[in-house]
Amino acid sequence: MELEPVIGLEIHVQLKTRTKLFCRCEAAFGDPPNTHTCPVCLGLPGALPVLNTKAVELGVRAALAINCTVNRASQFARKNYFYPDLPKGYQISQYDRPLASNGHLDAGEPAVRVRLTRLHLEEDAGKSMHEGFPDSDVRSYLDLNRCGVPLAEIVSEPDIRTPGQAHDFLTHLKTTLQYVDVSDCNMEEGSLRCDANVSLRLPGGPLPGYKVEVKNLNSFRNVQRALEYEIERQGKILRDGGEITRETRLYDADRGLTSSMRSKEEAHDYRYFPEPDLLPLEVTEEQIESIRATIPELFAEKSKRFADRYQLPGYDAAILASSKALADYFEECAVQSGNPKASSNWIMTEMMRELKNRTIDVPAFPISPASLALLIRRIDDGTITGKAAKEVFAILCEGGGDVDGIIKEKGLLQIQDDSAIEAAVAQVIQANPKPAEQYRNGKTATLGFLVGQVMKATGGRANPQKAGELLKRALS
Amino acid sequence: MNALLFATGSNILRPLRSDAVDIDYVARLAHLALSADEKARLGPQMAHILDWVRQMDEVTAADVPAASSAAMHLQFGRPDEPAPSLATEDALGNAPDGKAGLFRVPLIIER
Repeated sequence: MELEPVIGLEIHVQLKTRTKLFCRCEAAFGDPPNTHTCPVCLGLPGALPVLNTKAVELGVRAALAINCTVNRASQFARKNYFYPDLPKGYQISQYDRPLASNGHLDAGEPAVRVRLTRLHLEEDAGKSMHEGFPDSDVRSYLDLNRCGVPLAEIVSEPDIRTPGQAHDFLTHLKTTLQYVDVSDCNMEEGSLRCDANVSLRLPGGPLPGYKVEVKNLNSFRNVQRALEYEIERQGKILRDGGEITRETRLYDADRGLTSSMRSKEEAHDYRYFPEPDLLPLEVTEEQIESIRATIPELFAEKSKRFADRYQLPGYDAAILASSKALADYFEECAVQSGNPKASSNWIMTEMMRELKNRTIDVPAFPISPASLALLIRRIDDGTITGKAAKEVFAILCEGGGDVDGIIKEKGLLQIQDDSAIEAAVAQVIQANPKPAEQYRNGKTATLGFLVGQVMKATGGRANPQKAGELLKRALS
Repeated sequence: MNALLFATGSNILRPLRSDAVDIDYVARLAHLALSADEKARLGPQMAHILDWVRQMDEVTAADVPAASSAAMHLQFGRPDEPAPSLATEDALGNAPDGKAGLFRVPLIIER
C-alpha cells in the first residue's frame, strides 16, 4: 500500500526586540536566571500588559516577507492552561483574529509552494529545568527571564510531502526572516523552534482524520530525521491494518525516535477568550505600507541579481545570497575590489573554509570585506602573487595587521625584476635535470612542476606566468 | 463583537442553555476542588452570567466593526525601551519556594 505523507509545520520565532511583549523587562538571552522579571511577566495580581509596538512592527515585517496579508484589526486572546513556566495561568496569544494570514513561500528545487495559514503574536513561557539538581527527582526549577518575550508563530498548511521539503522550507523561511532582520533564528538559543504535524494518506486522497504532532525538534536536520522516523512508524501501523490516534510525540535525537508524550493536562481545552486587558490591535494601511517600504531585497531576487550583474554561476550566486550577512560581505568586497569573480572565489573557498574550521558566522569573521577587497586589488595590480595572497590571508585570519603592512613586513612583494626570476629559473633547471630534459623532449606537462619549483625558490614572490615564460625560453 | 466573545473553541463558553454548564469540567480545568455545595451554588451562577452576556447576541451587530472606536492603534502602545526589572530576591520573594536564584516547584514531568 502506497502512502503519502501530509506534513504541516508550526514555527515560533523570537522577535528581535530589546524588551518583552507586554512589559519593559529586557528580552535578553543567557543572563543569570530571574534577573529580567517584573509584576507583569510574573503574573502578579493587578499588573497590566502594555503592548510593545516594536514587536508589532517586526511581526508585520515578518508577515510581509512571507507574503501574508496583514490584518488591519487583530485581537489578543488568553490561552488558558496551568504550567509553572507560565505564572499567569494563561498565555497572551492571538486566536481567531491573528495579525496576518494567507501567506506562502516557494522553497526547494524544483520549488514547492507551501501556503502559510497565519502569523500571530504571542508571549513566550519561562524555562523549566528538570535535571541536574540534587532534588531533581521531586522538584523542577524555573527561570522566568524568557517569560513574556515576544514570539511570532507561523503556521503552515499541510502542503509538505517529504522530510526533504520540510528541510528546504525551514531553510528558506529562516533565510527570509533573517533577511528582514526580525529574528536571530538561532535554534540552539531557542529563538527559532519548530513543531511538525505529520500523517499519512492514500496518494492524492482526502486529508487524514488524525495527525501526530512531533515536538522537541532542535535542528532542521532533526526535523527531517524525526519526520522520516515518524513516516516509517505510521506506515508500518497503517499497513498492518492498525489505527493511529491524534497525539503529541517527543523526538529523542540521541536515539533517533519519537515517543508518545503523556500529559498530565486535561485534553486541550484552552478556553480562549479575548484578552480583556488589551484593546483590539489596529494597524493602519499607512503603517503597513511604511513597513513594506523597508523590506530589503530577499534571497530569490538577490541570488538572481548576483548571477546577472556579477556574471556568476547560479550555484555560486545562490550560496553567496544564502544569508544576508554573507551577501552583504560579498557585495561590499566585489564593489571595493572591482573584481566580483575573484571576490566570489575567495569567499567560496578560503573564507568558507575558515568559517567552517572555526565554526563561526560571517559577522565573527576576522577579515573585513574591505581588507579582502584590498588583498584582491593587490593581486590584480601585480603587487603580490596569488600564492603570497594566501599567506597574507592566513595572517589576517589570525587577526594580524593590515594587508599592505603584512606584505611589507613579510617581504611578499612580487619580484618585478626579470633577472631575479631568471636566476631562480637557472637554479631550478640545474637542480632538476630530469624534468628539464623531459620538457625538452616534448613532455610539456613537466612545466607545471618546474614553475612550482621556481615559486618555491622565490618564496612565492615570482609571477607564475612570468616564471613559465622564462622557463620556456631557457629550455628552448 | 458579540459573536466573537465566546465563540472561541471553548467547551464551557459555547452557546448552551443556562442549565447546561458542566461545573465539574470547569472546576477541573481551573484546578479548583469544589465541594458539592459550592458546585450547586456556582453552577447556576455561572450559567446566569453567561446568559447575561448572551443578551449581546440579540443585538444586530453583524455590520458593526469590532470595537473600532476603542481600537488600540499602534501608536498607543509603548516604545521598546527597557526599564529596571525586579531584583531576583524580590521576584523570588513572592513565590512559595525558591533556591539559587530559581523558582522551585513540585516536579512537573513524569519520570
